Amino acid sequence: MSKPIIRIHDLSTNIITDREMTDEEFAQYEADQAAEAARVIAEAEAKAVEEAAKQQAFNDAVAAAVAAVLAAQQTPATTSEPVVEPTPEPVVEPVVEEPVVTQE
Amino acid sequence: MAGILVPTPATKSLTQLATGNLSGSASVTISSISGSYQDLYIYVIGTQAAGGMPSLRFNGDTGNNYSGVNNNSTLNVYNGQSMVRMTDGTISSSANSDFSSAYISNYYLSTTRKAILTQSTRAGTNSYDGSQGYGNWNDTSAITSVSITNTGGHSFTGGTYTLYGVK
Repeated sequence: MSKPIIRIHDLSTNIITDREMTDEEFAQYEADQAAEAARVIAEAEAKAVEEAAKQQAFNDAVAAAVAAVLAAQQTPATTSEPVVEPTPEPVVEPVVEEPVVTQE
Repeated sequence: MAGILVPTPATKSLTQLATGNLSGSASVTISSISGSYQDLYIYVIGTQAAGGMPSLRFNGDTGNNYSGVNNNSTLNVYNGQSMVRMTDGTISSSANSDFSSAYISNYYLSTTRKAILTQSTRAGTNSYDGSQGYGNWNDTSAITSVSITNTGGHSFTGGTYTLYGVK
């Protein structure tokens, strides 16, 4: 079975050469494929975790909102009479009239 | 009237160093890159393969010496990988399935690690099928060869590459 092709563009001669990978290059090629497969899996897993976290946050927010609405509906309405403070009576000082003295 | 002498803005120019087809190969290595430019710019257009992501290796380094971040509606970070990704999201065998580019600054230096800016678009059903990112090659060697490969090891079934030198 033939190995993948490596292309070399040599600028000192401007000649482009195609050749099969060496054993060492092919081993690296296979390692690259394995690394990419692992990266794709890791990326998919990270995305799934992120989506699950987003969904959980949304669910929590909805649950909190529903709980708040239910709590508001179940609490009896209370209408307390306003407290009216008695108005203090004004203090009236007694007027003392001076006796009228007439001299004869 | 006295004035301030403003230096003339420097202009950069692109020189096409190489171009060719990806089709029928599992990777394309552009070798014997001259160190006489400031930066390298790589275009990969119409990439097609049965999955995987167009990626780069430098100087034949297949060790886990590459890391980076790609933004494709979410940030995807990778560390200790054997190649730097030009895009984020797997490509397909459909027509014009991918455009990717990479800008490699100061590739000729043998004293600094290499930083790579990437951007890409991808044909698909999602509006966010494009990405921007950066990568890093944890090696201080001057880059003399660039390999365009695929994260999944899939052979390319379409696409072209172009390498520019930037001065």
